[in-house]
Order: sequence, then structure tokens, then C-alpha cells
Amino acid sequence: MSETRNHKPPKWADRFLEWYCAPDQLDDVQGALYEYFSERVDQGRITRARRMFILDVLSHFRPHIIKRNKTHYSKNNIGMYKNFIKVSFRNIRKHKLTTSLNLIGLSVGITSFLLIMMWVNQEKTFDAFHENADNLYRISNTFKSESEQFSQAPSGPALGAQLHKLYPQIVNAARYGNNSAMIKVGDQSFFENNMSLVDANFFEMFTWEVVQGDQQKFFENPNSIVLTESLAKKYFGDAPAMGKMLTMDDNLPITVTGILKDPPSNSQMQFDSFISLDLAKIMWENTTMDDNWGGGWFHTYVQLETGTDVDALMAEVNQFIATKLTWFSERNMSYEYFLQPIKSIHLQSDLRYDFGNNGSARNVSIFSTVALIILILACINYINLTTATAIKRAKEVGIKKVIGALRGQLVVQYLIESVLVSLIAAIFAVGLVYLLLPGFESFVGYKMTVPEYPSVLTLLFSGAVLLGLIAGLFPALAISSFNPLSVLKGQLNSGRRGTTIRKLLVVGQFTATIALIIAIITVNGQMRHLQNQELGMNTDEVISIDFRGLESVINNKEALTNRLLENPNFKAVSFNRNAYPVDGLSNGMVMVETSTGDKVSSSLYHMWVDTEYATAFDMTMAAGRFFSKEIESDISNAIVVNESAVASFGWGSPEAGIGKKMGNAPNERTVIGVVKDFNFEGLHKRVEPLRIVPITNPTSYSAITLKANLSQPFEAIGFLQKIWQELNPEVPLDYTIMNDDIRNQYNSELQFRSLFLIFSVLSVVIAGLGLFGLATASTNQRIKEIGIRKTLGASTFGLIQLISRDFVILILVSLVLAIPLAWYGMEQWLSGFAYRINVSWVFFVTAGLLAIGVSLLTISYQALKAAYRNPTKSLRYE
Amino acid sequence: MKGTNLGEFEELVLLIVVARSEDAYSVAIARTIDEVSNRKVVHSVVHASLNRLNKKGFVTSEMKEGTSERGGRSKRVYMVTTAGRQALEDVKLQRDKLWDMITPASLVKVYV
Repeated sequence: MSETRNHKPPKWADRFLEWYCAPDQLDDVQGALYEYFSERVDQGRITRARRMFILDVLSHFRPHIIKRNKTHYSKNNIGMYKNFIKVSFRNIRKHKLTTSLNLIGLSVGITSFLLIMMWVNQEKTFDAFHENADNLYRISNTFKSESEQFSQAPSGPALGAQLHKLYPQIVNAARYGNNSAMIKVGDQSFFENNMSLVDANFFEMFTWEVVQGDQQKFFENPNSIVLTESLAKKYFGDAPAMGKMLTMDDNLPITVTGILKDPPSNSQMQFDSFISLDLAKIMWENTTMDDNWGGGWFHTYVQLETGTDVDALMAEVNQFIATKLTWFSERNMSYEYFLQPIKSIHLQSDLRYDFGNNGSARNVSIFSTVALIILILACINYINLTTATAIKRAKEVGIKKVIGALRGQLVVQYLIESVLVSLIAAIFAVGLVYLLLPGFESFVGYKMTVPEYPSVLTLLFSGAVLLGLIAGLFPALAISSFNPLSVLKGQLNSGRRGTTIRKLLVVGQFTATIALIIAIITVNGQMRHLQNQELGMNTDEVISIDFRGLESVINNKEALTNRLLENPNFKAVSFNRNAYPVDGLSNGMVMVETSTGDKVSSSLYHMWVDTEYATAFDMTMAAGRFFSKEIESDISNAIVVNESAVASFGWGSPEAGIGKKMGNAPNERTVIGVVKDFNFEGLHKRVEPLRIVPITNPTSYSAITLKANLSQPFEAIGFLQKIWQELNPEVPLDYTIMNDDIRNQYNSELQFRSLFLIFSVLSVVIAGLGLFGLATASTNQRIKEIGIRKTLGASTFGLIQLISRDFVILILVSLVLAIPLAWYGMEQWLSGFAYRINVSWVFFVTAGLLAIGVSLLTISYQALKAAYRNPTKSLRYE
Repeated sequence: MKGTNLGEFEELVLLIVVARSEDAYSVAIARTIDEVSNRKVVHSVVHASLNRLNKKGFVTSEMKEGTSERGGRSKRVYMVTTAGRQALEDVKLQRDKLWDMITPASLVKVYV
């Protein structure tokens, strides 16, 4: 027997038997099978015993033995649930208006919620796709001088070159910078603005999808370039790109050593190609760069050991770098370095020279709130409509109760109904999302990564069930609470049932709606304010050409200027380094004389221009004069600053600023003029101090600014193209019209406004639907009252008043609640703008009037219908 | 109950229940069938048949202590009821009548 003990029948078969076998039969059958099993084991045929056991278990799986045959019966509700679902479908079909209002509201709500959440998810997972994302940080810094301080994203080149060799906690470090160049493929030339300069180990730290090539060997030879798929396609079409030779900036041959997939849309780094920093060092003839600790050259990334104490590390690093920055500390300037987790940069970081595609945590929370509000509004709609029309279900409830339905069962039934409605809405919503996604993507400006299907769908549908439960709970309780006796006797005044709660919900809904209307008005006003803001310069007639400082163009400067000015459409030609005075100026260190005559250190934005620049942009002088062609000393001795600089150095007035010194000999310059502030950083920010320096060496020119008559743009630009072709046949003409650039600068704001508008209007529409449904329900309930009043001589206006009064009171209450809410929210939002409007009472009045107007329109449609109805009809039935 | 008549296999099982008066449980019955009729029966068939007999009211059962090779599971021991005995006797009577109708001559015919 001991042998038998050792051998057990297959467990799963045994379990299966225990599962299906009726309890009163189990012992007998199981015992018998064990007996056979042990007998067969005793015969030494273990495998056979096990197999036979399984066969026996399977052969016992017969109706007479399966559990439901057990002698005591459990309650079986399945049939009842089937009935619930059937009744629900019938009701959904019967009350078409209510159902469609509910479905529209819910599906629009869910659709908006899904779209917004996809966007939010995308924004929140920026840069999370790198395998090392949790350990990757960017070293940024805060620069302080005697006159100002600012934080910037890029740091000195030595950090990325050396830190990981000095600190064991820093596993790896790499730098990322931007470069532009002219690339020649065969006989075609392209200007590339979006080339990234990186260290070779950049590819070890970050995770990019390599299509071709070995990422260990991308930069084995410095004369290499790594292309993205789309750039490779642009250069070579469908022909293979690997190993092909390109020419950079006229004379530098480089080989394609790798092809990468285009960076995903949720990556802060959006690049077209990579070249090695080693190559850049050769190009720039800069061999000491890697020992240069100060300044802001490159975005510097480090990969830390998991679990590193970041604060302790940075304290050490700062202490160490300070010893290297004596040149700065002698001049009372300092850098304070800090780490930014790479995953937080997209939403949290807003530094100087940060990534252009950075998002805003504020917008993410604003849209999350809007998404939630939309969903809640849709829920409230459902609750209100269902309870308001509950009276239609009164008889059904009464009869069910008389037959013996328990309240709990009725609640379950109505919950099932609301879950069904919400599931149908969710299915509609999924379809809508599919339809709208492409449009939404082009709106947001990037492709959405749709999360994995099964999990998302499960989440979606369990969410829909939850939504149905939340929305359906109160109506279910309300409907199921009818007293069967009074219902069946016909003494029902249940239109009043739950009115308090319904009123509260309507107030909630209208509070949200009015607040959103106020927000819409404010956002719109602010955007218009931004667009109408004086930039302080005239950009309407300005064309800018970027030629990347190619010598051939500079050599033709005179010819180009003369030829263009011959044409009456062109009024000024300025060669400079900063064709775009609106975007990303660089800044540099300079000593500045204060009003007391001392010199303080300062880091100022600067731009390099020629004498025609002010004319090209119609800049106005606050004092003094701009550089002049006639006065030769201007080029070497003069400097112009803006009004903000005057204020920043405490010179008092622009006039007092004339004659102040900047810089140290032999590079000392005298301020000869102060330009009125013009906005060069976008209207989010105040105008910062700026110095304008004349270009001494013509080889520094890299761009051209033209003032042209653009009333007939094709003529002017056609002429420009013709002349350019003649003079610079080798160089592509890369021009932009300034106004477009400036508009681009507000793209993200405009995008925000449009998205906000769309979703807010949607939620207002949802609330309107709800109100329409409510008004319908309440007039229907009062049809008899209205009929009687009419026969007694009530006027149409009086009747409308009667029906509207309740709603108007609710809306007024909501208005009182919404105003402080909206005021607070909008003040918060506006505080992010340097140039902002104030929230004024006009907005509140407009929003209030709008809300009352729209709701009166909605209600009076129903009221009029009721009032014009022939009372004989409405009174006929009893 | 509709079917109070006895199927061929049921008859066999019921006969064994009567024969093994003390120890008539499913496994033992199955073994007896093996021995007597020399045909392999699966336990579930016997069990199903016993269940049917029980439903028809031909047997009753009670649970008895199990043995160690049953893993301590108790077993259901069947006893024939009056109705069961009656049914068996009815069947036997029928068969006897039929046997009586058979003449030696007809038997020979069969074998030819």
C-alpha cells in the first residue's frame, strides 16, 4: 500500500472531478476511481493507471452526475437578468428622444475624454521610451552675474566630456547640440537646420531604433553622418543610402554610416541627422573645447548609477566645477548646476535655449480638468434626463413591486439599463475617436501613439461600466422608490421626486458651463491681445534669407544690394547674423558701466547687424542714433542697447545712457543710441536687455533681411529669386516672410486656444442638450396645467414665463457660483503671460447673458410648443 | 416514472446487487460483471446505471466507511428494494414464459 501512497492520480483530473461532480455523489465516485487507480498501480502499470484515471474522470462527466443535479437547488437568476436586458433594450428604443440625448451626450463626452486623455498620456510619457530613461538627467545651470541671473538648458562642453570620468556615480555622459549646414548630394544642395551634434556614446545612453549600421561604429571615423529614414529618402529616394558620400559646407566629405528611424513624436530631441562632435571640433578648429567649463554650449546628459543621491552628487560637482571657473568668479559671475530628470523636461522645464517642442504642465492639467468636466456634464445629463422622465416608468415599477419585485432587484434593473446605454455610447465613442484621430493629430501637431489594444479596451469598457453605474445609481434609486399603491391609483406627483437633487445637479452643470464660457471669452481675448500686441518693430514687409554665412554670397554683397534696390519693391537690404530678431538670440558676457561709473559683469542677449538693420525693421530710437554708414568709427567703437538694458543698468533715462561704456579695452564700445524695446522673445516673456553690435568682419554675415513691398508678393519674390539665381546659382534661396515666422511663434498658443475652444464648446453643447431634455420633460409634465391655464385666459408670454422661471433662477444661482471660480482659474492662467489682459466684469456679464439667452431659447421652444397647443387636446385624456 | 422496465445492463447490475447482498458497491459490481460476463465495463457506466436504478426506485443506498485504497472516501452500498425484486421476478417470469414457448425443433432450426 505504501507504494500506492507514493503514486497520486493526476491532480488536474481529480480537481476537475471535484469541480463538476455533485457533492452527494463525489465521495462514492472519487473513492471508486481511487480504488481502480491503486489497483492498477499495484499491478505496476503506473502510466496506464494515470491514463485510465483521466479517462474515467472524463467518462463520468455525464448529465446525471454534474453538479446541477444536486439535491438542494440554489437560486438561479440568469433568466431574470436576461429579462432585465431585454426590458432595457425595449425602453431604450421606446423613449427615443431621451435615449438619443443621453447617447449623444455620453458619446461626445467619452470621445472628448478619450482624445484628451490620449494627448495627456502622450505629453506625460515624453522621453519615457529610452531604456535608461529613469537614470538619464540633463545638467542645466543657473547663471548669475552682478546685474542679472537666468537659467539655461545648455552647459559648458567640459561637463559632458569629463564628468563621467571623474565621478563613478555618473555611468556615462554625452552632449547634444544643434548645427546647420549645407549638404551637397551629387549636384543638389540642401540647407539642413536640424543636424544634431553628439558624442559617440550618445547612442549608448539613448534608445533609438537603428535601421542600418552598427551604432557602436557610427562615429568610428569622424567624417560620418547618421541619417534618419526620412532624410535618407529626401537625399537618395529609394536607393540605398548606407556608405554613400555627401559633401558638407562645400568641401567636407562625409560618409553615411547609419540610418535611424525618425525620432518618435514623444521625444524632446527631434533630429534629422547626427554628426560627431569630434568632426565639429575639427570644423571649428577648436581643440581646447573639452576643457572649457563655462558657458552654455550643449545640452549635456548624464546617465547615473541607479539609486544615486542626486543632491550629494551635484553638491560635489558644483564644488568641483567652481574651482575650474575662476575666470568667472573673479568677475563676480557664477554657474550653479542642477539635474533635470529627462522624463520631466518636457512638461516641467522652461529654461533659456530649451527644446522648442516642450509642453506645459499647466496645459496638461487644464485639459485634464476640461476632460473631466465634459464627462461629469454628460453624467449629469443622464441623471437629470432619466429622473425627469422617471414618471413614465412609474406604472412599470408599480406593477413589478406588486408582483413582488424587491427594491434591490429594481435598482439592479435600472443600473443594467444605464450601463447598457453607457456601453453603447462607449462603442460609438471608439468609432468617433477613430474618425477624428487624424484631424486631432494634425491639430496637435504630432502622431499619437495609440496604447496597446487589449489593455486599453478593457480599461475603456470597464470605465464605461463604471460610468454607467455612477450615472445610473441615482436614477435607479429614484425610480425604484415609487410607492406602488399611489402609482397604480394614479395619484402620482412624482415629477417632483428628486427635484432638489436635480436642481443641485443643474446648478452644478450650469456653474461649469458658465465658467467655461467665461474661460472661452478670456482665452480668446488674451489671444487677440497677444496678436495685436505691438512688437515694437514692423514685420509686415520683411523677408529674411538665411544663407549660413557662405562666402560666395558674402562676396556678392554689393552686387546683390545694388541689384535689389534698383527694383522699387525693395527698400532696404541688411546683412547680419540675426535675420530673426524674434527667436533664440544668443547671449554673451560683457562688463557694463553703471550710473555711478563702476563696471559690473553682465550676460546680455546680443545681436550682430549692419547699418541698415534698423531701417529694415523700422526700429525707432528712444535716444541717440543707430549705426551710420558714414561714420566709420561706429563699426569698431559704437554699440546700441534697448530700453530694457537702460532700466536694467539703472541709467535712469535713455538719454543718460548715451556715452556709457561697455566691455573692456581694447574691445570697449560706447553707447551711441537706445532703441525702443521691441519684442524678440515672444510675448510670453518681457523684453529682456539687449545690445546691438555692428559686425566688424564681413565673414560673420550669415543672413539677409530685406524690407520689401509685399502688396504683390509674387512679383517681389519672383524678382528676388531671379536675382539670387543670377548671383548665387550654387546656393539655395532659403527665405521666410517674417510675419509667418511670428505667427509660427504663437502656434502652440493658437493651438491651445483652438483645442480649448472646441472642447469647451462641446461641453456647452452637452449642457445645452441636457437642458433641452429637462425642459421637454418638465413641460410634458405640466401639459395639463398649461391647458387649464390657457382656457382660463393665460397669455402665451405668461406661460413661457411660468415654465422658464424655475430655470432662470437656477442659472442665476450658477452664475453667482461660476464667477469666482472662473475668475480664480483665469487669473492663474493669465499669470503665465507677460502681456496679459485683465479679467473684466464684461466677461462675466457676457457669459451670463449668453447662458441665460441660450437656455431661454432652448426652453422657450418647448414652452411655445406647449403654449400654442390646443388645450382641448392636452385636456382630453384622463 | 416512465420507464419502470429493466434494461439488459440494468438487469445485470440489479442481479449482482441482489447477489452480493452485503457488499454491493459500484467497483465490486463492475468487477463481478467482468468475471461473469467477461466484458470490460467502465466504472462510469455502472455508476450511471446504478443511478438510474435508484431513480426508478429499484435500489436504495447507504454510505459506508471507505478503505485506504479509496483514499478514505466512503462508498455507497446498494440494496435492492421490493420494487426491484419484483421487477427482477417479472423479467424472469417473462423470460421463462418465452423459454417455455421454445420447442427443441425450433432450437435446431436456429442452429442450422
